[in-house]
Amino acid sequence: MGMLNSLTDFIKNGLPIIFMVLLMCSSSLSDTDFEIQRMVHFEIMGIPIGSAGSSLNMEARSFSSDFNFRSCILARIQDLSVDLFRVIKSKAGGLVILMPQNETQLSLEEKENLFLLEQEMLSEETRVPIYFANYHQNLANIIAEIDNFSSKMKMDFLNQINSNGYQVVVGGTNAVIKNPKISIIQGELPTEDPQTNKPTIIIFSQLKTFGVVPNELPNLDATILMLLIDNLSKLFNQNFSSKYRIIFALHESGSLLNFHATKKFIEANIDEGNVRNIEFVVCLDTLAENPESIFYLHSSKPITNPGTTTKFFEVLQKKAEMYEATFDYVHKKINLADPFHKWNHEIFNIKKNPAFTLSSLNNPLDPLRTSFFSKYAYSSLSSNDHPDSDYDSVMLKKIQVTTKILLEALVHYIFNLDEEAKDKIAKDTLPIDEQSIKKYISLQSIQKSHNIKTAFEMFLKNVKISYDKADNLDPEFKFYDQGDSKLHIYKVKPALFDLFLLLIICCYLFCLYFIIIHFSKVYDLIQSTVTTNHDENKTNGVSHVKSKYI
Amino acid sequence: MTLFHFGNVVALAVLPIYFLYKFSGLSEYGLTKIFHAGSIYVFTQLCKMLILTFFPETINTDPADFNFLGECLRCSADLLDFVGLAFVLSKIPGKSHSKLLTAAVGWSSAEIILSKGLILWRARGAEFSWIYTQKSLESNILLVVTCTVTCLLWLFSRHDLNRKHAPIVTFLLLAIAFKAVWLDGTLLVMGIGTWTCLAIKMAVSIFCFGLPTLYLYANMAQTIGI
Repeated sequence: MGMLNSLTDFIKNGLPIIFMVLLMCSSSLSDTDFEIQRMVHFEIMGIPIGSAGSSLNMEARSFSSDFNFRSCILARIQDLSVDLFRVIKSKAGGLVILMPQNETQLSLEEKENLFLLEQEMLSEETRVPIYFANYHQNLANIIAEIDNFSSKMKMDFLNQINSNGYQVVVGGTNAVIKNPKISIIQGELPTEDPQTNKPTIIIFSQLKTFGVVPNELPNLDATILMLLIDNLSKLFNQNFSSKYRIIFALHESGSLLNFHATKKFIEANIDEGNVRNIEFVVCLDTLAENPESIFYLHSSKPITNPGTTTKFFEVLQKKAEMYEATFDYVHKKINLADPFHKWNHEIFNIKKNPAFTLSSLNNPLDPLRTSFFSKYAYSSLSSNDHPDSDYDSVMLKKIQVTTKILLEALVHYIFNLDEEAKDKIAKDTLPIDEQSIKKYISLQSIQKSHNIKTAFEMFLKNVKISYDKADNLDPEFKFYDQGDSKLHIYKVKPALFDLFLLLIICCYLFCLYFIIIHFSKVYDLIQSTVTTNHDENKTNGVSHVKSKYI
Repeated sequence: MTLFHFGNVVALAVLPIYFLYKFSGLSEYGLTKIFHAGSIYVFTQLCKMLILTFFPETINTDPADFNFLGECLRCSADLLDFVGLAFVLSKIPGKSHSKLLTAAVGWSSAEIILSKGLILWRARGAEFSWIYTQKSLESNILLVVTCTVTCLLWLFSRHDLNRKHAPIVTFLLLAIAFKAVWLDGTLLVMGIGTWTCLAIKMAVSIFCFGLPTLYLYANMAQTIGI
């Protein structure tokens, strides 16, 4: 018994401590967590671009309702327009954008609007935290509910009390990445010929490692570059004699980063004297993103004079005609006062190297160039012109045709063979099928994976990876930590609701209080019925006894 | 504002017990016996946990998936609660109304704090859910049921219980012990919403368990003159 008493004493004394520990362990959990990504944030040549804000703890609102700097707007990307985005940017405290479930959901107009919106987002820095959420049905439902609520702002009192609100919480980070670097990978086609002072052709392209969303964009140029490497290396291995030394290079600074790594490439190769006697530099930029069968050669010098560029352009035109495509020429002088280059070849031209850019776009400001949604250009084509075709296959076809034109033009230009032999090579030995395209379609940053390095090492010699590092004191570019964040959305009720609930609870407790106070009356009532029964029993018993004895 | 909601639901869960303690005259006797009753509740739960570990893994934690056998086994373990409560009753001297109330208040306070406390603590969080209000109302039902069970156990322990009433007392005790099987099972089969379920449980606890027990108790009290 004594043991039991001491046990009960222990439990009695230890109970508050156990309880406190349990309370500390418990945390509030949410049912509605979503994976989100913060809008890209970087700085180039001292100009910050993207979303500078990161953490959010605000009330969710629809853009159609009244909002202020304490509200976070939740919206589907197709509902946002450029003007609306500007208003949100200046007035709201945050923005969470839901991506579409698939491209077919969007109309042509919505897709065009999307490209414009994306350009607006990438035009300057925004103080407001902006996040992108991949499509999730629950999030779509919450957005629909918020929209619905805002459309009925003037509803009756009871509905207003009972309405659901949502609290948006994101604990993102926005730290500057220390020692940022941009990778460049280069390699050259192996030749048996020991002659080193051959004229050099550099084929240069870029890997777009981010767009408005800090994810790899569809890197079709890099895919084409890899296909060129793959096929040309086969020919070089067959000992066809080449007039040229061919160097391939891929860097990770696209037009958003002002082709920054190009300078580093020029310094390390041309200025150092490792590469001499440049025939021309071919820059590949957005070659397959535009579904139309038209290509442009962008040059900062007119190609009226006979020269290497003119010669190559003529070959390109001839080869394009064979695939029912056209090759046009765009001449644009370099604006030396502008630190931002329109095309990659301008940097080579400034350093007095012959260079030009091949692109499917006419205008350097075309949104397709930096778009995360560039695939949508194909989906709109397939939904309108070819309703039955799969847009992926349309895109693969375009990559195939583009690669063939370039490859045949290069074969034509670089090999010492007669016309017939060149055509035979082009037709017989260079099959570019969908399988080989798919092999190179999802290339990832050199800093993240080894797939580009492995491919380069497989086909090329003297493969070298170098890094364009930012200056410690005056960095030309800065990257910010994007990280994957989690969006927590909590269902909340208005303050009025809790007051209302308090009122109801008070009434209920008051009733209980009355029942407890007057419980004796209920008990008396029950006891009186018991007493009556007892009396009846007694009376019955007496009469029974009486009858027995009488 | 969420702290306000937490206050609301805690008030809803705790104040009825406080009222019972304060306005039924229990406060005159002090808290010692109530603490004893609470401690024995904790000890009983530990014993129950030990016993439940010997049971096969038929107990399903998912409320949507009703497991008849699992519930039956769990309810039979709940019979240990009756033993604990009977022990509490035996430790409190006297035979007045307050003896029963002390045991019931002590037992249900500990039960509400330990079984609902953690859930209600989460009402502080940003997320709103009706579940906290429902749990608070459930603890009110629990209070009624605990009072009824205490009363029934006391009646069960009396040798001078009217013979006619003995089977009713046993039946009510078993009905309460296996409430989770027959009542929850029926409500689940009928597919009734949570709020209606709560109302039905409240009504069953008061009218099917509470009032008949009160009648039996009044009868006994009349017989022994308290």
